[in-house]
Amino acid sequence: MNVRVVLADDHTLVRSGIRALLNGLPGVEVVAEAGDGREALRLTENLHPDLVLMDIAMAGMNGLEATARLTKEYPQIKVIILSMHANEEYVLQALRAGAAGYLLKDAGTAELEIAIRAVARGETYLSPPISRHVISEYVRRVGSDFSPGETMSQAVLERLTSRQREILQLIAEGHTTQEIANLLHISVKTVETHRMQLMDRLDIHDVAGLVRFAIRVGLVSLEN
Amino acid sequence: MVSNAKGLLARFSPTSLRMRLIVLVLLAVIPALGLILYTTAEQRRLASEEARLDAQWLARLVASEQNRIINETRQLLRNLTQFTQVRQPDPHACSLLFGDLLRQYPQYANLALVSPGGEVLCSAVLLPASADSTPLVYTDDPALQGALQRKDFVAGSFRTDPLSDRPVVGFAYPVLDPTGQVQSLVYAALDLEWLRQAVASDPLPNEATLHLIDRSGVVLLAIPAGYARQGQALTGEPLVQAMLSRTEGLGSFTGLDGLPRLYAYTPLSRAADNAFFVAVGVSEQAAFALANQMLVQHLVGLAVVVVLALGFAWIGGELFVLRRVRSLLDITHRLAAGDLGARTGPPYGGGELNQLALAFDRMIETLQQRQAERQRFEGEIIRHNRDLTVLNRITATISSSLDLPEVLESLKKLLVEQLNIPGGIVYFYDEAGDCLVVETAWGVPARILGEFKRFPATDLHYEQVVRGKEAVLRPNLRLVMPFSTLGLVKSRPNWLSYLCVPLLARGEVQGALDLFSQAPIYFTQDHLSLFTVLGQQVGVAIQNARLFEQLLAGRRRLQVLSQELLEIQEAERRHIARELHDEIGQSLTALKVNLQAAQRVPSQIDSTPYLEESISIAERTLRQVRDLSLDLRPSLLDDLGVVAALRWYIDRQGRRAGIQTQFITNVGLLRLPAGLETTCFRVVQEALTNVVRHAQAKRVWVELRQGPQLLELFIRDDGVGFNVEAVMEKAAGDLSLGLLGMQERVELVGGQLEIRSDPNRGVEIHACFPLTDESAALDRLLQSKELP
Repeated sequence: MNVRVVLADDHTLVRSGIRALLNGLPGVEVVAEAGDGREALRLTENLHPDLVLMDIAMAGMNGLEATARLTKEYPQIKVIILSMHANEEYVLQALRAGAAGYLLKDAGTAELEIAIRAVARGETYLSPPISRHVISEYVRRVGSDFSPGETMSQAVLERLTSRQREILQLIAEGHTTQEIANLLHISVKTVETHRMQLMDRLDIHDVAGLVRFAIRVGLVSLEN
Repeated sequence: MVSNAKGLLARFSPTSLRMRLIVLVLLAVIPALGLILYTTAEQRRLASEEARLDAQWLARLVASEQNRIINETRQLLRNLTQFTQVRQPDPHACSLLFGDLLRQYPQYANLALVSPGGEVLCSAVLLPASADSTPLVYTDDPALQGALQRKDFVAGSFRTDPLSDRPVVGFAYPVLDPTGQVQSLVYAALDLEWLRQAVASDPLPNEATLHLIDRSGVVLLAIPAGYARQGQALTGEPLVQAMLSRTEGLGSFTGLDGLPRLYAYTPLSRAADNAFFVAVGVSEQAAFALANQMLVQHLVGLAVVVVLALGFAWIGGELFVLRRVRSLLDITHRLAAGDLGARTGPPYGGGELNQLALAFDRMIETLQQRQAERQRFEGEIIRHNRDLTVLNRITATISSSLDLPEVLESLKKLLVEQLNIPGGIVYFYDEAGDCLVVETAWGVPARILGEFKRFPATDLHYEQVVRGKEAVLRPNLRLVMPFSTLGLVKSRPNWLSYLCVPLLARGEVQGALDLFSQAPIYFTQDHLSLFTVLGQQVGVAIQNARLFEQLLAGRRRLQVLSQELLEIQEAERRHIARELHDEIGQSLTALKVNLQAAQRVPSQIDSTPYLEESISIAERTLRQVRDLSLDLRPSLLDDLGVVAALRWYIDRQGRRAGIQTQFITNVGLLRLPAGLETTCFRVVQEALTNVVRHAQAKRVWVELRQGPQLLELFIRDDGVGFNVEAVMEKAAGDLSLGLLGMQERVELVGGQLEIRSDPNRGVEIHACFPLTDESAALDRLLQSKELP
């Protein structure tokens, strides 16, 4: 049975390089490619791959954020972080976001295959320069821990109802109250009530503030 | 003079009060006058009536008297006819008899016996011894003719009796013989002189006149005496004509004496055959005399009353009305002239005038009060105006310069010259130390000033000035600490009052201003507001000057910074260029050469060593690029946030430099705005660089602490430290440049940077940033544990 892989990287050149490498591996199938975290999430929801190869630095929603959401919603889907950085902090954050592997982009084909196989087996894989020991040392020094954490956006969004989240997003995307009512098939009055509750909850009392807030927590991206 | 004349004119003008009073009195007199005139008229009428009655009565009286005389005459004559001496005429005996009778009857001028032919037969008066013995004839007497004809008693008319040569009126009575023929006539001549005397002896009342005339209008008798018309025929006179009308009557006529009178006239008895008429004239003037006299009396009385009333009106008016009115008038004039002290004064009493006076006085009182009030207000306005002018001048002067010493110098000068403030102290408020610092002073002895160059703002009344932003006013300087204890009172004994105003700018205390005055209660509440405003102006001027100074300093610093920045940029570019050229460029060249070599290797020979070499070179190059990139800007900051970036960076730097580091944060999940994250990272980066380079520290503590509104960053080391002011002041060298850069970065995102250090006491850097609303909201939301 093939390992179905979604590849997420915002650099097309890198993506096609990796794809070429993956296609050379037996039993590995790239089912989709994504340009950013948001797209990766959407594709994952649709395609339910076995594994996602995720770049960290992506515009819009970055790889760590996407990883955190993905592994929370679909624990069975494994994520391997692709990174340029052999940096303890990155590795630590990736592991806390729920990534099963951390692979440097300059790793060779062999290492890529090992990593995929290991992760597919349910193991954790880290590139050789950043061994588990190195990370443990780091964690000890800086007084952090390994335990899975949640991201700010996750925390924030979990503290809002899905309706509030929806309305916040629509407001931030620039829809009028009437448009929101039409989109959600509810009355203008109800939209306003939700908005009031939202503002009360956040203690933000102007639309501009709501927009900034939504951007900060990743509900909307500046690109959109 | 003119005004006197005017006053006089006014006093006597018909509209003056006195004249009106007099007119009133005169009007009141008019009915009395009317009554008097009416009474007089009535009296005159009565007198006139009385005079008529008098005249009639007198006329009748006289007539009856005359009638009596005539009847007596008739009686006498008739008796005589019986005498024998008469019937048998014997001239001698007859004459004797007649002579006897004449002596008995003095009223007759003569008694005679006359023959029908007129010859005098005998006479009481002796006949003159006529030479030719021609008998005396009495034929001219109508009485004889009448008696002869009528054979009865007949009265004659006026004539002068030739025998007695007296004015007489003759009466004849016929002596009849038995046949009834007239034998002779007895004749009596009534002596008018006697009659006059008889009448005159019983004088007529009221200057009455009496006229007696005979039927031919000849005047027989005219009383009073001296009447010279006896015997004259005056038929032309109206009175005479009226008398001759043979009726009784009454009328006003001009008397025979030429004077008008009321005449009553009547004929004598019919027995006398209407031979005589009598008229009695009564003087109407005399009759009216009483009425006239009474009229005069009444008029005099009235005049006296009027004069008295006028006098009373004059004097009483003066006493009771005019004096009061004049005094009111006088007061009014004085009032009009602006003398508000004028009063009519008490006693007021109860009358209208008094009430008026009282009301007037009250009105003036009110006016005076108002005037006083107005003057006070005017005074206040003038003073306010002066104050404002001064304030304006001060404002204009001190705001015309941005040079702080110059501002303070002109302030001092203006306070001394314009507001007579001999002494004062200007303090600046040092916010950091919560202290007041003496900036400048004047008039205050240097010894005293030296005692409190710098003191806590909470000391004494300065707390009220600095905290409460209120002026503190002390009317008595002797009781004001600390000046009383420092001996200011002793060295400046003529300084009496004290005021301390805050120097405010936009509601913030910039300092305080002590003011001393020589006047005992110079600083009033009014002054308080003036000096409060002044304090604000000065505060603003000081703030402006300070800001300007800061601006200048900032600009200087900025110039240095941008200069340095350019150099750093150049250095960095040089470094990057060298890295790119010397390292990466060399590596890529080597890679290219290797790959070309691999390409040229014949196909039968293994090219793997070249390729492996190439991969190795590429890996090394990649690492170089990564390091370079990381040095320029750590990607962690963008990808993982400031907490992760700082954690990693501090750890790495510490390890590299062999310094023990500790990083504490409570930021947790919150991602801060990108600018803020970068600033925090750069500040820490700069601080750690400085620590590594200069501090010789063993330990470094970094803390990023988030509050509800603020994000605070503390960086502390246990190194050698430095003199902050000296380093910042110098604005040169990489330490001060680094610090300045740090400060610029912090201020760019609205934060504040504070660097505290002393030699050998380490360095503590504290940066403080305001959090945006949504950051705060985010944090609140993250902190809240409750889930929807």
